[in-house]
Amino acid sequence: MEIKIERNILNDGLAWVQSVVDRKTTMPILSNVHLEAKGGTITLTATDLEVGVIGTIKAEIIQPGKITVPARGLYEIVKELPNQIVQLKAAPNHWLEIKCAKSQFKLVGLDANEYPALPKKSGGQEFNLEVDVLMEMIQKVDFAISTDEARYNLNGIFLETGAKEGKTCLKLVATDGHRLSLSERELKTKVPLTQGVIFPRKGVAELKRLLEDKEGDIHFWVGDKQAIVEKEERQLMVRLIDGQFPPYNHVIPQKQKRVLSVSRESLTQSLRRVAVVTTDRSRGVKFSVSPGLLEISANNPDLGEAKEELPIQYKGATFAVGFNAAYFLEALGVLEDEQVVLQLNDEVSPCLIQSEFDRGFTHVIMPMRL
Amino acid sequence: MIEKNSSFQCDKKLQIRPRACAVAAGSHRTFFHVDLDAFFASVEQIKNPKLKNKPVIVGGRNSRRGVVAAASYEAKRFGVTTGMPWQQAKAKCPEAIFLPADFEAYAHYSEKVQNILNEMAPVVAQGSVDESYLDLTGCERIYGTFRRAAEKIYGAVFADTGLKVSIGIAGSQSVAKMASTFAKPSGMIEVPKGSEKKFLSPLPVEAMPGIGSKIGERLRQMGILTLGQLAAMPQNLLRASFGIYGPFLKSKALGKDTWELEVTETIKSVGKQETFPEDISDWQIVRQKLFELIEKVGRKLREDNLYARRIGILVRYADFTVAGLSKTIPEPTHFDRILFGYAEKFMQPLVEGRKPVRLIGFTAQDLVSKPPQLDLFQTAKSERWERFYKSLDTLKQKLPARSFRATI
Repeated sequence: MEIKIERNILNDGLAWVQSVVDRKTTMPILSNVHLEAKGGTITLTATDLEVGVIGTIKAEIIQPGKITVPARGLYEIVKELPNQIVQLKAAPNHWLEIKCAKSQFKLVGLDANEYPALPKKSGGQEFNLEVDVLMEMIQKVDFAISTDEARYNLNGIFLETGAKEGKTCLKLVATDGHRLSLSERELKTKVPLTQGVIFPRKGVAELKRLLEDKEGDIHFWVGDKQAIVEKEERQLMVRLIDGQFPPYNHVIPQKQKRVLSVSRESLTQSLRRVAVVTTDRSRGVKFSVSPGLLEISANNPDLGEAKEELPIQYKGATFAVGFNAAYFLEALGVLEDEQVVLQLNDEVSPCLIQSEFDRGFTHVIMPMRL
Repeated sequence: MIEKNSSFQCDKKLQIRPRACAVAAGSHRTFFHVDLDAFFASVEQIKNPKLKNKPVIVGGRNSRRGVVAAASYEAKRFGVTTGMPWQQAKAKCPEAIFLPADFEAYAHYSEKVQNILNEMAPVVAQGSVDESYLDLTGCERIYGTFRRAAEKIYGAVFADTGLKVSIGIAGSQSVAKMASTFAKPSGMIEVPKGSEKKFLSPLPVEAMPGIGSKIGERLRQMGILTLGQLAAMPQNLLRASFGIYGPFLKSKALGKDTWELEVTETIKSVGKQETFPEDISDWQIVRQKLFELIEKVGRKLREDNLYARRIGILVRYADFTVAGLSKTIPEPTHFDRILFGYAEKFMQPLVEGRKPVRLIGFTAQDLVSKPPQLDLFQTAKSERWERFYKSLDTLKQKLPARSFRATI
């Protein structure tokens, strides 16, 4: 293999693929990036077997071929090179020579034939989604993804389609068992997704990178166990989580007894201040609600206590309920509304937050015992 | 392990902070170890003054196969020791008075002693029902000398409860504990600063709290028999054999392991074991007994609002060999039915088709209090179970014992 390519183009391509490479892999070849030169392009591939990324870039191919070299090493080198033409040339015993201006490097590689094969599309369903819509939906739910490995079926975003008033809609749901975030949007195009799939956390992070600063449509292929997302010359392959997503519809409260409305900005500011005295582990704050008034308080035997009052719109009985302030702040952070409406029931039932601005947004937070 | 009939074994451990061995030599800390002499038996003698100066043995009588839980010094003189089978104790000391254990009374007296100690020392950490560690660093000016402080503590406990204590005074907790053992009964030993090495060096390694039979055996194989020899071992050699515990062992042998006393005690485990009136081979009978044990442990856990993350089971066969295991369970719980589900699964293979069983035990370990955060998918269901067990526990409290019983 021998190619010539502009440093900036190569650097962009490597930046895209190298991030999925796992530092602590048990298979040495997975630390490597796979380079294949063929027909005027060079294809860069990296994977940790859960997530795989492919980038195709134009290059001057002097001799076709393939090789694998340490992804981080190659990326670090190329990053420091001057913006000139870089020459990559395979040498015997899987070495790779890198030349640019007056610099020369040699990297130890591994046999490209031993690189694991990435999944190919077979069966499954294909559809397109709008980049900006998808990105917004992801941002409204992904913070609620569970990081608890024991609840592996919650370690991702659940993606499913449904029908609403005769139109197809897409639903993205994430939960860690303590709170749940749902984003629902009507789609202009038909999405032939017969059943919901769980898109893993790491895949979501890569998908966000893929969508960044992009416009137009993005192409999805969803199979039984894998999904492939394509945008221009970049591809993302994801192993879907093999598990059952919990029946999330059951935990979204239907009728709530107590409804209050409060300025989103002041609630956010108050929570931030009061949360300072909470313990790092629980972040527990107390909401004491009385007609027209919300008092947020917290105390921590190691630090002290805090209390703040906020005007609210509420008529009804006085009650108190505890919440994790961090969960509330994250939910408030994705809302655009000026006034946020909190719908509550009792101190062991979830709080429902919906948006006037984005009718497809539903958020549920479970209280804490105080 | 001591077989006690019908006793909870709540393992309340002092928390040892990681800087355990970081306290430098020449540090001027002073710890007391206050140990109640023949605690259970002494309480019985106080409850019933007629038993004074008579050999009293607690535990064992309600079953002909029980063992000695505690013996008064009068009985110990005949060679009766804690853990000895009842029959053997009877043979050694025919005139001994056997009494069933009265744990409520012991808890009452233990609390009384704690109250006294709390008034006399700034930092008190209860090690178990009959022993406490006191940090009296800097209190010599209040009491004159540490010996005076010990005399005052002895006097106050005796005047208020009639119980006698032995006190060890030293610059570290373990040395203080060893000193109190030597001081028994009704004595006091102070190991002055700087003479810890002299005090410790002739003693066998197992005399040191924290060095059990397993580590003791390994040390003996290395030719280390006394604490003096252990103290002389090079650090790197101990590190190679015992890992990070190696340097800790050495500092123990030098009498330099002090740790901060954590005043708030935490219950680490709750367990219960019972000896069958006769050896049992029938799994169904063992299973029923296991259920009864778990009912009691579960109730104790719910009373203290604790959840077990780990459960342990123990089977002692007729020939006194032991089998058991301890496993972490996926979700912390204190529901009998869930605890029993796991325990049954663990125990069945140890009983069926094996030797007849003499005793079984169940322990709830790695206890945690309930996470304050409620769960979207589990709370509703577990709240219902919580209410169910709560009513069950109230019912059990109201009705006389044995008037009803849950079956499997």
